[in-house]
This record gives sequence, structure tokens and C-alpha cells, in this order.
Amino acid sequence: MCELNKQKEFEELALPYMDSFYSSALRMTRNEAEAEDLLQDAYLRAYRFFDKFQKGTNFRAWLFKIIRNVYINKYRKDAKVPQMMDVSDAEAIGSLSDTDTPENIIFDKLLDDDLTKALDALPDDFKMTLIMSDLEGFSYKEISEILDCPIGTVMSRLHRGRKILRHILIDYAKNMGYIKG
Amino acid sequence: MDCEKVCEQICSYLDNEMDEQSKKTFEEHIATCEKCSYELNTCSCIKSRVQKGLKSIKAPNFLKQKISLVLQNAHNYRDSGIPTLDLIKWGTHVAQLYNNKSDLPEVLIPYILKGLEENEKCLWVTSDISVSEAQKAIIDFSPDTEKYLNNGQLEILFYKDWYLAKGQFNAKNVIDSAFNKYQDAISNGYSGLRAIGTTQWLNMDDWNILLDLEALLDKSISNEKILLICTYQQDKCGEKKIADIMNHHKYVLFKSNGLWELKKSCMG
Repeated sequence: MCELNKQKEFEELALPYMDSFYSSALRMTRNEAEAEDLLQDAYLRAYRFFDKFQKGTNFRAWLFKIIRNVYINKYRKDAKVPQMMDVSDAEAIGSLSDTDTPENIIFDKLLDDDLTKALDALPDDFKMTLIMSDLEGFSYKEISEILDCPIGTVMSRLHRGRKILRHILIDYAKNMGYIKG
Repeated sequence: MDCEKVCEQICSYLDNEMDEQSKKTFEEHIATCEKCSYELNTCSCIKSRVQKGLKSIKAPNFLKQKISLVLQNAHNYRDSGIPTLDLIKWGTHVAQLYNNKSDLPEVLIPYILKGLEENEKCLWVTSDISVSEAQKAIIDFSPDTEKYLNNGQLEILFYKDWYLAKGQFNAKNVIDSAFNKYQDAISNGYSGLRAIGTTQWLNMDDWNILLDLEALLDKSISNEKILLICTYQQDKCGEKKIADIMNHHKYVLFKSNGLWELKKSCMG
């Protein structure tokens, strides 16, 4: 394939996803300049290996997998540092029986910044899985292929990730006085 | 269906990942179990709050044009072989800070192997380890490399035979030798020159000569098909010298918590 056609074909497939992938990149790096660099590096890498992409298979998942790999190799900081949060502690959450306020109303009062902070406090694998499911709308099968893990692991990360998030958000709500402590 | 099983399935239900039969059984249980119904509601609130909070943010307008331009120049980017460094443009000048000589091969061997794979002439000038140690290390890692040593695509030289080949150490001599090597590489059909320089042998009083060389190299390779990694022993360099290194290389590789990390210098 001549270089010009290759670029045209690649751009037609890849550029429409840029807005959605930019949001994910921003969530991963937490920094606009790094999110731009991450996308640029990942698109360049994908372009170089475009010949290896099997036509007719899932291009969006293939491209996202490259973004995630470049993020892990190049942009993720304190990658192997153990997470401060004890996951099992956080999962043992108390009930909200002391309040009659429905949780959707409580959570809606919290700011997006609170949500971002709560997401960033999650172990990286949990956060990544939530981004793929709730922001990108990937199916469990797609996520398991991107992460190279069994579907059961995807389910367990989503389940536990949401439980921990709930715990953190309730803490925020208590601190803000939306719920009695 | 017991409550524990239902709880495990809440995410699948919310994420629309359930087949019709399981969905029906699940819904029947929820309709009659207050506890599970409460759990479902809570989980659903979290999911919708996350979706609302993670709303899509549009990429800046210039990014598409910028990436398009980078793709047009994709042929100028090479795989460094080092995951942290990833793809780098021809003309990139990198420094590696290391503590022990065992740190060197971790970066340098994958870098060289990738260059050999991509039909580049590879030149490794070493001082911390001998030429035979370097050869053994790379052959142990990839036995196939012996053929590149034999056919000359990979050359490993001791620092004396490179930096001091013409007598005294000076920047111009080194640059001349490097460009001769580069011209030979191109005329022999290689796609470019991938090189490694070493500084450990230098008396630190020669620091200014070294900086002259780094500045000249940085300028002269920037538009050529050359990649260069210069290795620096970290504990020989104080803060000021590290700042000098940052100012003379586009990227600096350093080890932190056992992993290689990258710092992009202000020139980058």
C-alpha cells in the first residue's frame, strides 16, 4: 500500500475516536499536555503497526489497547508502588441505614472533582477498567481482550471498583455534611 | 438463587452483559428481596454518577492536525527498543544515568537489538565493561547477534579506540569519526546509525570538553539519521552536572524504584 493511501485509510479509521480517547487519556495521565503526548505516541505506534491490524476485527479496541500499553510503559508514574488503600477494608462498607436520602441524590450533590479524586484513589487496574466500561462503553469481552485477562477478572474489578468508589464518595458526602457521620 | 450470587451479578446486569434467561431469574429475585434490590440501586447510582462525571471531553482542535503531521513523518521515527522511550525521531540524543554497571545492558541491549532488526548500523563504545564482556552480554541475550558482530553491522569498541584514537580527547575528532562512521553506514545500505557513547572513563576535570562535545553532537545529529545514547554514572555527577546533562540531551533515562523512567528535557 502506498504511504499516502495507508495514512488516509488509517486516519479515516482512527481520527473519529480521538475525542473519546482523549477523555480516557486525560483520565489516565491527569494532565492535558501528557494526554496529548500519549495520544500522539499511541497513534504513531498504531500507524507503524497498522499492517499488523487484521482487517474486519475490532479496530477501536485494538487502538485503545495500544494507548493503554503506551500509557503503562511511558506515562504511568509510581507504577509498581503498592496502592495506599487497603482494598478489602474499603469493601467492608457500612450501610446507609442512618439516612433516608437516596444515594443518587447524595452523589449528585458531589462535584465532578470529587469523583475524579475518588477515581484516582482507586488501584490503577480498577480505574482503567471503569474508564473502559463507563466512559468508552467497551463490552466485558472487549475489555478482557484489551487487558489480556479473563472476563471474570473484568467483572470482579468493576464490582470491587464500584464498591470502593461508593465507600469513598460516601466519606466525601459525610465530610460535606450531606449525610450524618 | 441466593443473595450472594445475585450480588456478584449486579454489575453484569447493569452493564447489560446478561443473557435473557439469567436476566429474568435475576429480576425475579430482585423483585422479592429488599436487600438485593437495595444493593442494585446503590450500584446503579454509582455507575450513573461515574458515567455523568466521566463525560467526554473534546480533544483540542489542533491535536488532529498535529497527529496527522506526525503520521506524515512516521518514517522519521524509529523504535528505540526501550519501552519507556518508545518511538524516537532520527536525530534524538538521549542520556542514560546509571548507578551500577549492571544497569547498562538493561537499556543498551534492547536498544541495540532493535537497531539491528531495523537494519541500522550499531556502534557501542564502552568503558565500564570490556568489549568482550559487552559482546558476551549481548550474545547471551540473543545468540543471533554473533552474525551481526561478524558482518560488521554491530561494532563494539573500547573507549580508547574511539575517543582517543587520534591522540588527545577533543570534540572535533570525535565528531569527525562519528560522521565517517555514519557515511560508511549509509553507503553500505544501512538505514542509519544507532550509537552509544560512554563518559565514565573521563576525568571529571574534562567536564567542559565533554559538554562541548555534547553540544556539538546535539546540533550536528539533529537532522541526520542518527540515534545516540550517552551513558553517565550518576554518582559521579552532582546536581549541577545533572542539570548540564539535562540541557544537552532531549531525554534522560534514570532508574527509580527499580524501573527505568524518562525525563523530557526543556529542549524536548
